[in-house]
Amino acid sequence: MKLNRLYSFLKADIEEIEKELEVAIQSDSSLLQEASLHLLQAGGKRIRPVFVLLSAKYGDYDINVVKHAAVSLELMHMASLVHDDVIDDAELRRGKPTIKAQWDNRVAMYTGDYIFARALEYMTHIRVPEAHRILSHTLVELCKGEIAQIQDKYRYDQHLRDYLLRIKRKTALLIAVSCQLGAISSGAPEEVHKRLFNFGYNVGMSYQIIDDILDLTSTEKELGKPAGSDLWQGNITLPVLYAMDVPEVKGKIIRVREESSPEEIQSVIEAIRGTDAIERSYALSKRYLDRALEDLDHLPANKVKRTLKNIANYIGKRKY
Amino acid sequence: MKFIDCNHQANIIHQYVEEQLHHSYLKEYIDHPYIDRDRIHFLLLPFAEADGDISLEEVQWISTAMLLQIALDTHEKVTNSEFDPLKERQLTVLAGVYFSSLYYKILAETDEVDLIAILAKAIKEVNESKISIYKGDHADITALMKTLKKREASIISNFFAFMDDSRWEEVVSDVLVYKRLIQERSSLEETETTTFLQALAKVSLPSALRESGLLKKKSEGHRHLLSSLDRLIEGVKAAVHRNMEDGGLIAPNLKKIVLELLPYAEPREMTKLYAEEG
Repeated sequence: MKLNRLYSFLKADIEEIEKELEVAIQSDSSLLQEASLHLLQAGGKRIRPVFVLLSAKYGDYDINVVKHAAVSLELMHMASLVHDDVIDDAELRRGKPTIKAQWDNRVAMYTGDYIFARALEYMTHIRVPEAHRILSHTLVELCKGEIAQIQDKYRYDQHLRDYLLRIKRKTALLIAVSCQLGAISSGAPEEVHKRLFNFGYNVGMSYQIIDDILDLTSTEKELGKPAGSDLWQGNITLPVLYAMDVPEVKGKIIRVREESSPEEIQSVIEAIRGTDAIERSYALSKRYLDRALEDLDHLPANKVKRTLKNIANYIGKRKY
Repeated sequence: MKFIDCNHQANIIHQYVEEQLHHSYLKEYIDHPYIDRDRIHFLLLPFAEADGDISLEEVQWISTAMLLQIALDTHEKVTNSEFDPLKERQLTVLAGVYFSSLYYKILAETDEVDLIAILAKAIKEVNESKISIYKGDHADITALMKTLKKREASIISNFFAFMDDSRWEEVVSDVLVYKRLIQERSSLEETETTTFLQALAKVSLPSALRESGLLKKKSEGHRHLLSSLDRLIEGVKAAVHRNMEDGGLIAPNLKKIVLELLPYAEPREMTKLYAEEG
């Protein structure tokens, strides 16, 4: 089943968000617009807007208000992707050339900053100060997480808590905040938006762990980028950390460098797959997922709750 | 506000911005961001007639405009060169994003949603101008200068709009353009190319001259470009003087800053002569 089937009752509103995203990136500069559109049309799950809309259903739902938060969060995610591709010197994103590959680093930087500005402009339509305090705090944490990721590259003596803090900042917080801001923008009670934040956080942690597993178990075609990219770039993910419990495998892993050949990387991937690291990673992902489902137990039973539950389960089982 | 008080306020803002910029890991790899004191003074202009110190909230407003400028300047350092060290490039990208997220965080904490919006508009305008200069899509020098003015002055102009005080906009914009042109001139003299110099060459020199090598000192292209820059500098300088003479509202501290800046780049005799010869 496709993810979007799970929330088909939001179809009209999702289409509205998609149209609004195209409006948001319109610019006096044709190149900025073209580059932004290039990224927008590469697709993506739009999981953040979906969480915003679903969470907003717990309050006084008005698509004309809520769409500003939904569009803003997707644009912020897009801006971070454009910048990340410069950071990672990435050629492909979702199987298409990145902005920096299609044009160059400078165009990517201008486009990323432009999209970020548009995200903020959209967000300022939400006139709830708390929403801005939460989102801005998250953005700062996100940056700190990215900086820490650079700092931790090829650092093989790190611990599980380093990894968890990193993925919290890198992925989980923005999903958590998407859920919370949806609820805040529709005036849902504090107890509900805090619960939704926890739900989003746990789903986000589970999601990122699975992403990190797939980096080692999927094909280049499925990923839209070379398999093992994280490992190659020195990002120590959960399966890699677990695999290092096996001394012979650790010996192979710690030799990975930027200069390693594709064959060497493939050999390390196979060594990791030969341990129980993938299985243990799935188990931790499932623990976060279970916590997310527990969070939902505290929310009123309705169609939205069922949908959030289905999305969480879908994420737990996704294969690419 | 007396000039001495303005200086004191500028110190407070400078210090506040310094504290925000501090990041122990970033400072190991990237140059310490440049805090332009003149910009702080310009941002203080709407408060020039106030008695006493400005409030902490106002310090934060001005500091966020500074942080944003620094964030965009930091991203301008990301080049297309394959020879830039990878880690420096990565951290330069992240530093810019970090500084701009601080602007949002500080304003969100003071509940100043309107200023968040108006400065976001400024980021948008600056990046539209930057990409336009980078692609060199200007019909003539006038159009290029208009874009340059937007690139240099959007943040301050939008801040003035937030303060509902447009008295200083024209003269400050011109002074910022003037400062930029002086920097561009230095780059050219040091045979460094910039996106602006390339755009200027495109609208002011015939292609044969551009191809002769703009960065080779004493080449015809180089001399022509230097002469174009000097004419632009003189033009902007004259506009600033006119503005200062016409506007009776020029604050003493602004006048002092401007007068200190303006004589800085008298064109050298050689390029002056060259300009006259056409």
